[in-house]
Amino acid sequence: MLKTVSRKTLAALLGFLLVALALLALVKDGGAGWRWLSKGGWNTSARISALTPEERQWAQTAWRYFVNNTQPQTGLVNGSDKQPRATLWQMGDTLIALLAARELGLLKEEEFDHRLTQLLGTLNRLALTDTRTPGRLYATPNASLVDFSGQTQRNGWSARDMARLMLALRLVSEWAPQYQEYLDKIVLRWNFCPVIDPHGELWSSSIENGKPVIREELRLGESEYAATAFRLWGFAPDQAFTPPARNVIIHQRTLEVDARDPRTTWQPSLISTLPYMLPGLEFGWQPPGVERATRKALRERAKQVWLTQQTRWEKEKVLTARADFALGQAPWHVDDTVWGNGYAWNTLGADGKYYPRLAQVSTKAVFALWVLWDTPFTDALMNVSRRMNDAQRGWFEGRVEATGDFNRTITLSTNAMVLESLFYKAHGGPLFRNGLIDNGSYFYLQATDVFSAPGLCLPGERRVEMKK
Amino acid sequence: MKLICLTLFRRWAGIVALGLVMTSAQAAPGLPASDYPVRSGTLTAQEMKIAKNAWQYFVANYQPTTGLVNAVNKYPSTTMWDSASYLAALTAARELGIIDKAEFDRRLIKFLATLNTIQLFRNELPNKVYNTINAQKVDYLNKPGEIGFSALDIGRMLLWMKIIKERYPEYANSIDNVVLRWDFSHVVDGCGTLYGAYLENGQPKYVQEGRLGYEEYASAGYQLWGFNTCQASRPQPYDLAEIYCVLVPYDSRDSRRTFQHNYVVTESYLLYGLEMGFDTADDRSNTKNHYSHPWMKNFADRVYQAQENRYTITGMLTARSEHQLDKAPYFVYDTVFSDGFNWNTITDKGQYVPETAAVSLKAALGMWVLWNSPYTDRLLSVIENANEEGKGYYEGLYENGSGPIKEFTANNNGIMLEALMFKKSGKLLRFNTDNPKDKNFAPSLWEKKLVDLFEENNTRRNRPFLNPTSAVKSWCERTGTALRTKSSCQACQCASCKADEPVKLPPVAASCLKQ
Repeated sequence: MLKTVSRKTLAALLGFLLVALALLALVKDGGAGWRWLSKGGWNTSARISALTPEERQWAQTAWRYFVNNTQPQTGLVNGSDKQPRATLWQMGDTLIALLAARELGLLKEEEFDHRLTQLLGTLNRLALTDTRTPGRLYATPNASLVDFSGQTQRNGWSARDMARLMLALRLVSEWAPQYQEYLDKIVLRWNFCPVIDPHGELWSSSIENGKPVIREELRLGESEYAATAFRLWGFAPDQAFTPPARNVIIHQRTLEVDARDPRTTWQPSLISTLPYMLPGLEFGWQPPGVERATRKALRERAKQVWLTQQTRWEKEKVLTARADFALGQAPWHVDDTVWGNGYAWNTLGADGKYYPRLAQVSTKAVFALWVLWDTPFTDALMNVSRRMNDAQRGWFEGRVEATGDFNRTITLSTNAMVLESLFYKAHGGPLFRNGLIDNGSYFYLQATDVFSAPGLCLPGERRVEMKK
Repeated sequence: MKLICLTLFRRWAGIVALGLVMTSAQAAPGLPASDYPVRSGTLTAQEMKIAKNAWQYFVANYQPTTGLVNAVNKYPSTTMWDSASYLAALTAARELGIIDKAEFDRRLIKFLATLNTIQLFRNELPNKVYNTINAQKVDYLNKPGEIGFSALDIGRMLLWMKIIKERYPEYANSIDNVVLRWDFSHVVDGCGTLYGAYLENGQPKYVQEGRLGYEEYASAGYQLWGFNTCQASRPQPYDLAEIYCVLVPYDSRDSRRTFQHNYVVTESYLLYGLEMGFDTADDRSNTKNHYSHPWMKNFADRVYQAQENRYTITGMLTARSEHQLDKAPYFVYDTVFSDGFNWNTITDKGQYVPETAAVSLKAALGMWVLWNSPYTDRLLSVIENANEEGKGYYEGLYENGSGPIKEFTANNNGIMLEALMFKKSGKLLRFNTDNPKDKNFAPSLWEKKLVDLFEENNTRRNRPFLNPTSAVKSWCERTGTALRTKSSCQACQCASCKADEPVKLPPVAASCLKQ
């Protein structure tokens, strides 16, 4: 009798202990274990766990850039260190970095509110171009439209940059829903009639010889990413989701590239890391409201881009993490690609020339690859990149392939990318829960108001074609 | 044991690497082109008419003073390449009965006499261009002076001199004398890489010449004369481009750094097929539908198939080759692939000129004879009457429908003629004279010089070392000639290149073919 009781008690005790241990494992490190379990940690290729002290230091260094470069009058952050200009893409980066900093505990809720409020105000007062679209480039001290030399100019718009900001606004809405109304108002001011056509193709515009030129600017990778952002707001950018693709073969791997000819469209056709990895960080390549085939293609292409770079490392022993980057001298901006305009590992300056000596291991590509794919290759990339920063100023753009030098330029996008990647890691998975704007939102109610349609070609709005 | 594991691992790695391509581009069983037979048989009346029309070019552009033929209609200038095309036309005209032996002899004697007396570039090899009226070395504007030599042009000439020598042994003496004049010191190195020459500030510069396709074709010419062209004859380095479901190989040397376009065109593979029958240079047999140079045949099939598929998919009749134009920029590389782009049409400066793309007549007729298919039937019907009385065939028909390229060339008409000759008698290189097993065997002048230990020019002019056959040995004994026992060049034992290394064929086609 006694024997059975003790045996039962023992079994119960053991069971209890096991459950307690499991619970402890799940809640330890701020619930990292639970997150690992609930995010499918056993079948992901990504790094999902709480930040190590070193990684926290990395995040702090990246955040340092934003502290240094915030303009007190507007809350905007300089696109490059001490360079008082920013694009909409960079404004989107700023919002995501701010969110990441709060979630990683780099700033207090009070400071978050303060910074976000100032940004919201500026973005809601942003000067628009003649077509009532947001422009390509703004001066950060006063949020006026400028060109690259700082001269006032109404310089067209970029659907790609608009998309990044629109995506960031949706992300902030999810993580700080109390601000949603103000976030919605930012986009409600914009005129989408020239930006998205009835087929769902996205158009951009620039000024050439004093005249606006409208063109399809987005190419495979960027196109789907921009379309994803437009979809979050309820637009139907169908054509932008399915750019024409063809295959090229690099290191015996097929890689999909845009089929439009850069020689006749005058638009470079480039494959680089970020447009493929951002949908991974933000949606796990499962953006909401998007067809299954497109989701599958997004994941498949991201894998191709990652594996192609890994294969180059394996076969040619060249550490490879390609992304566009800034440079401290001419040609100032470089498209460093996996494939570009016909050639594998092409490195194109802003002037369209080939600069093989400038190719580099780009910090932002390293972070995106490192966090999404936990492999010896990304370990090797991070090992060579982890010290590419100045603790007082932020992360450098990258390390030059040809010489091993640092490219000591410091930019907003690179530092935002560091924060976004670490945010993904600490959060343990894609940043968006869903992302789609809901039917009860301020944005949606305004857009679909039948009695006072804003006439901006918003989703749900009856479309009135503009007369020339 | 360890060694076995290593080799096993290597094989395994190879399979994995292959599998990587396979996963997205599942291997089709093979290309349809591989199953198309060649066309053969006597010429029909229609085909004879084509041959006679093409020969008109060589009647109209013959220069009686030198025996040379203008490369381009009425322009008195030519290259070794175009002259070889003339030799092809001349041979075909005789074999097809368009001219008689007397006319053939009259023309060939004059031609070989000129070739034997022209001034060479730096006393080495024929200059890139010659004036056809006075046989002077000239530049591209036909002004006297020397500009360098082309290893590829000379390769084609060597190939044709070998063909003539074998078909008509009575000319062997003259031909051997031509080649014995030449100095091969700079054109081919110890590892068998081909070099061309150009002048920079009056000084000759020797740079590697030839890209996949042309490089292998030209090196066959050197091989026939005994040279080792190991490096040039290998397909490596190459990559694959996916073009209308076909994986087409192209030379992966970067044209942005080397300033040489890596164009993939029909012509290079076509010529190899017509003249060498897709056989290796040492293959003395002449069997139809057997190819002792399988990767060359396979690569040619791919280039053909991409063009047929383009027609099937887009409706555009396609037969691509480099060709002349009747207006600026006068010459384009009209390619299947070049410098990163499918269906690229570029000038020698790399400028993109898509409006000059054309159905090349030489490519069309060549494809017609090497690949018997409904598609090439269509090609023939579109080109058969694209000629002008007394001038020969047009260079091409513009793809955009703006009519013929009203230019006439020796190369275009010559290749058309050799394609027709191929139909009549198969592979053009027909070994005859120097088969040691033949009872009529006698070493040629070339061989006798080459095996002679005391012939100073063997070393000085970098002539190849021939492994003496028993017949040559006995000739040496009878004449008291001291036999060379080893090669004079040290680099000829090249460590980095193995000529007999087998070539593994890459996967053939992307999955879209199977749908």
